[in-house]
Amino acid sequence: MSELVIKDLYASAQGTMILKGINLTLSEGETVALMGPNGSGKSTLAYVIMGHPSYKVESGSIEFDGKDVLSMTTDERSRLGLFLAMQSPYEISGVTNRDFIKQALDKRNTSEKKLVSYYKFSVKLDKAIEELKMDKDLADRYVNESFSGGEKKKNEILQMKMLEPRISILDEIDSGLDVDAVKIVSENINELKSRLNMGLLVVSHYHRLYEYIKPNRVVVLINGVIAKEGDNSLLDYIDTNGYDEIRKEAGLFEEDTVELLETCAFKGNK
Amino acid sequence: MTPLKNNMLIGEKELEKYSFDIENENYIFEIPDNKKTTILIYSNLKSESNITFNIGENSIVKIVYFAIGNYSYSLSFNISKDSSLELYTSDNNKANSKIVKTVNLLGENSYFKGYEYIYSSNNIITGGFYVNHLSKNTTAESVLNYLSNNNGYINRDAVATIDKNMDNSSSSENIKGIILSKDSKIDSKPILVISCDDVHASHGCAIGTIDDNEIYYLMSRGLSKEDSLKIICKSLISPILKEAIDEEFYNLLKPALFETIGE
Repeated sequence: MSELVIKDLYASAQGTMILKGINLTLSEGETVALMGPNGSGKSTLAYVIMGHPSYKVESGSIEFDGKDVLSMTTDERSRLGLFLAMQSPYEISGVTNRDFIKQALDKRNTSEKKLVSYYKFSVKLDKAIEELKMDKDLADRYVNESFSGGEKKKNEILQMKMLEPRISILDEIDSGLDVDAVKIVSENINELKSRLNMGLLVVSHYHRLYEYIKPNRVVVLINGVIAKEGDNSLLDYIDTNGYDEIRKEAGLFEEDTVELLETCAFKGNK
Repeated sequence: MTPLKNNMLIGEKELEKYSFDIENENYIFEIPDNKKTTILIYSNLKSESNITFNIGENSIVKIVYFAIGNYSYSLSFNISKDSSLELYTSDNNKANSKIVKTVNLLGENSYFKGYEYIYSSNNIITGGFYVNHLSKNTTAESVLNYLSNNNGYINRDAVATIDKNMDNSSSSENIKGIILSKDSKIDSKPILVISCDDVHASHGCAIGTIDDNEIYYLMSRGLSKEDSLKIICKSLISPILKEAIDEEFYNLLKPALFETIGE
């Protein structure tokens, strides 16, 4: 079984250390909930795994399938089977969703000489759009341009469905979605997970998403360190008690978190 | 493709395609009243020239105009009452040149929608894109996309003028400029000159290098950095290619346009 293995990972942004010794393993088929207060480093971890240039890995390692992820470019990581559904997806004016996803699929399949025919691709894309209950015209609109918050999040899941990654990181995929949309998105994630035996690292502040996407494990990140790990019952504990007790148990202080928020690497990162 | 000669009556058919060798003279073409036509023109500039298209009343006209050759030229369109023009235009000019495009909305209820793509590499392209609202209830939407690379310099403004008493007119102009290399440059302003109260007008201009976050987003889906740059540049030429609905015309246009983005 393939595993994403993060060992003793330290990462900084603009000279400030954000991740301070992360150890985390995620297997295919497993769902891990990554919890933590704002500014604790959850999005940073997601971006570091996907090689965002704003972050610098100071030490440690990330391996997937035994391969050194940190030595790879972002596109190589994607083609290896890693996927990040972003909290604030970027707009690409002038590039249609259809062209973008087709090209991304072609790049993924080039080495195996199995380019997807345009017809088969379109049928699959239309089906995925229908399953996500998105407007049909979103396929031919420019990537995320003039999309509502909910449409942007669904568009991330649409790309995930089309690219079929082995490990997906979902960074607050439920923010901006109404209750019905959370259910639809969750059903699609669960279907894909079960069909592909995909591993999931799910960042969310809300219990509702975890009611649909049931995590096997819960990991709590505070001030760039893993403060606590546990099973599903930890979700209920956090929902009731917040993070104060966990913070105290781990000997962490709120001021550190505030400092992190102020020095966060780039906008959209909480 | 039919050679386009001076003073020809054009636009009689639903789809017409022309090759246009531009010699040293001023050209005028007439599109009659009550026509619905798409005109594809592949022009070869062999000297400096002024080219004018007069569109009659109550006509719906789409023109895809592509120019090669290394000369300055001016292209003008006069749109009569109740007529509309959709214009897609691009230039593959390798010398320093001045390219002036002018649209005159002469008649009431005339409508213009324009898309221009200009590329500059190792040359200087000047001139401008001018829209003149010369009658009431006229509408214009202009989108100008510029790409500058390898010591290229584009210095062109978009100017929309709404004269006095041209009530209920509407004009928008949007400029997007992408600078691909440190030695290249784009200067462009979206200018509105309005002498009338009862109008709608908007303008926007975004010039810069390609946003690193856009590149990152595309790379996170498996596209290399080079492919990511290309897909963004291709987005500038795809509106024109989409309108090149004739195979022969498309096959002429495509390599010339793709050459501008390094393919």
